[in-house]
Amino acid sequence: MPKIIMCVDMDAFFASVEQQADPRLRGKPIAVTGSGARTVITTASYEARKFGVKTGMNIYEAKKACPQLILVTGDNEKYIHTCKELTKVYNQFTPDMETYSIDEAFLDITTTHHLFGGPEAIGISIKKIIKDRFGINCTIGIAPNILIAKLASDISKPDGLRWIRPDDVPDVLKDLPVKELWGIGSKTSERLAALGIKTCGELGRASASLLRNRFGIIGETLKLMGMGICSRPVIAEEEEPKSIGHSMTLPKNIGDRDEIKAYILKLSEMVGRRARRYRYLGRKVSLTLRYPDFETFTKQTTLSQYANDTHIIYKSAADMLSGIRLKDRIRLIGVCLSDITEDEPHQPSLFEIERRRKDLLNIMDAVNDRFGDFKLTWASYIMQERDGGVISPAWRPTGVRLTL
Amino acid sequence: MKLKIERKELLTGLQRVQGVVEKKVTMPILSNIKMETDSSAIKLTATDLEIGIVGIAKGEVLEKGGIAVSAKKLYEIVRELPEGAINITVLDGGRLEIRSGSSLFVLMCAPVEEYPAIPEIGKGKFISIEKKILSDMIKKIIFAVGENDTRYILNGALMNISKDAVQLIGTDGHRLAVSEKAVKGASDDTTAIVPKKALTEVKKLIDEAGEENIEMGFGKNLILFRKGNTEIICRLMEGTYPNYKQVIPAKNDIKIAVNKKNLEGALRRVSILSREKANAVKLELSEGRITAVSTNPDMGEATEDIPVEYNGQPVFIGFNARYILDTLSVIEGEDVILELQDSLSPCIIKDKADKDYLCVVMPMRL
Repeated sequence: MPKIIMCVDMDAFFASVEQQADPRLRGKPIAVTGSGARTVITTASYEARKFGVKTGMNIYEAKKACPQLILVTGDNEKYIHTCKELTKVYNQFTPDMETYSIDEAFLDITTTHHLFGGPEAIGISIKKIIKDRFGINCTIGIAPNILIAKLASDISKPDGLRWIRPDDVPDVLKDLPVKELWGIGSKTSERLAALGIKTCGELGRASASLLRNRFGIIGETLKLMGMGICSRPVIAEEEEPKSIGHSMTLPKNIGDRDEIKAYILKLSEMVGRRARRYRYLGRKVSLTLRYPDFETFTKQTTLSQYANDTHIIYKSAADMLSGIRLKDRIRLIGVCLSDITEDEPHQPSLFEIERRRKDLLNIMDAVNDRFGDFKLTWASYIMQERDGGVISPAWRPTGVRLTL
Repeated sequence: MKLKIERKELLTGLQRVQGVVEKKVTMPILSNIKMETDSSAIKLTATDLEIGIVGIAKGEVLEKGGIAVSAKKLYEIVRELPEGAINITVLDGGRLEIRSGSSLFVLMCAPVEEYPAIPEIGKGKFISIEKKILSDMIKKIIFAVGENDTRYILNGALMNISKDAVQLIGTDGHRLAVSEKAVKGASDDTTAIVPKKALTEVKKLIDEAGEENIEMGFGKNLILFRKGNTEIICRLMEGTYPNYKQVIPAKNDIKIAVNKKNLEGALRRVSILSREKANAVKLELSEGRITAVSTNPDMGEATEDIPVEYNGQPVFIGFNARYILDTLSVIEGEDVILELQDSLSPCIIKDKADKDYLCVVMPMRL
């Protein structure tokens, strides 16, 4: 069965995010730049592109092309946040999703598209959700593999949707210049031109041995690319995490140990809950503290057994705090679980006490998933909860590697 | 110190103590063995501070004394020397001279006083146990004892001694093995948690030639095993061993006798496909047979039928096949008895030929 792969590519991603964050920028030519003094344009809005503003131009060139151009310094946190939110949208349609870059994602919808009315219906839904929720246009390409899906989105920009069915691939490629293909840059296309190969059609028909002689082992891959064949799958799996941690900069600097402990407790619960959700156990707990002058230090302790129990994480982090003489108030606290191993969820313990503890944690997590974080917590923690500050309710457990 | 010893005698003595010598050297002196002579005997000692082993090698003592010498180097040298007598002499400046035929080695050594003392058991209680019995008991439970388990106490085996029996118990939290043997001579009840490494060394010692019984002695926080003139002294583990009796199900009413070889073979074959997935194998018990099934979505599936006498309700139960295979590998009888209750309760495996042994395995949720 041929696969059905979808490439979702945000249109002028950084610029669109900025326009969404600041309504005054909407509909105007803007360009996002880096933060350094001698920076270049990283993304220009479509309004600016009409004037010929391009990625890679320096500010002088851009202003010359479009005098009324508004320059915005890029804010990576905003883009990462949006990118993460977008993955949640994609995951509604398939678990086989790969965030290829900050503004591109591949979705393997081979086994799920029938649930949503077909590939095009998914494409339309995704475009609508992203437009409604984030105010960003995107272009979607659908094809039998990621190479053609990427091509389909590239040639349909902006705000497009194109489905290249397996039978249509040869027609699309026939007269397409080779440099339009993902992975063929100007160098390679020049070398191909020297062999008389200008279009993908010609590349697909070229002799494999000729290409192999000229390009080495990638020669055959180039030929396959010319034929629209690509075997790279959508890589949905995340690699094994090395640690699971959370840190937070406090709303104000604090020096009171009980208040610090209240934050440690909450961070421990966040760490424990994420570890449990993704079925990891850790054996090392570290506590990171930062003073107002940004001096930062970390203490680490090894647990007597692998754990993801909030209480165990909290206790060891709080014990570490007791052993520290604070020279100033604290501006940031972090709790991290490392030396990670996978929990075996299908092999329960022989000992009832261990099984019951695990069941209890699972139930607490289920309740908190449904009714909100920290709705069900340990009685002994309530006191601290009252004394300590309250962290942002915005926290949600999303990917195991989430760090910001 | 000056002595003369046959290569074979020294090699045997060194081999015996090698296993105890610390591999990860936290204290450099622990990578050594202590070699001492009194008027007539050569004493070899190794310790990792938890376990100590003391053996006597027969030789001709020409001068009393002692030295601490690298266990690995001395062993490697003696192993390569030709048959015949070896002359060993402590030279000035803490050096040890080893002469055999035309070979001469001089090793830099440490003074004997630096070697840690092996704790003495004092006037402990002793019981005598037949070597075959103790060896068999250790073999039947040691696989279930935890290995580098973070629940420290599970890295030891529980030993219960009563007036007329000795019991050994091992568990890693997923399976539990209990072996009990009638042994006369214990004066009163004793309980000890013995580290796995000590039991491994004791078993090696027992399995050497020689038909002597094993003497077991208990002192304060210490256990001693003696065979002939070799002694292993070990610190007992401190802590509370889990209540293993609670884990042994009392109401496993489904009892099936299975040919051990058939079950072992089937599990070995079927689990080939599930090795990557915690060795999960499902056993489907139905009239007249057990069907072992493993499925791996990435690879395929395997099934095998094992004939049994059964005519009750069908039961499905999943296991880590390795846990069952480990148990089967130490069972000597032709048939095993599986005692089950349902798919989520622990299963008991018994040896039809050995009423004093059982193993409990927690099923997997499949």
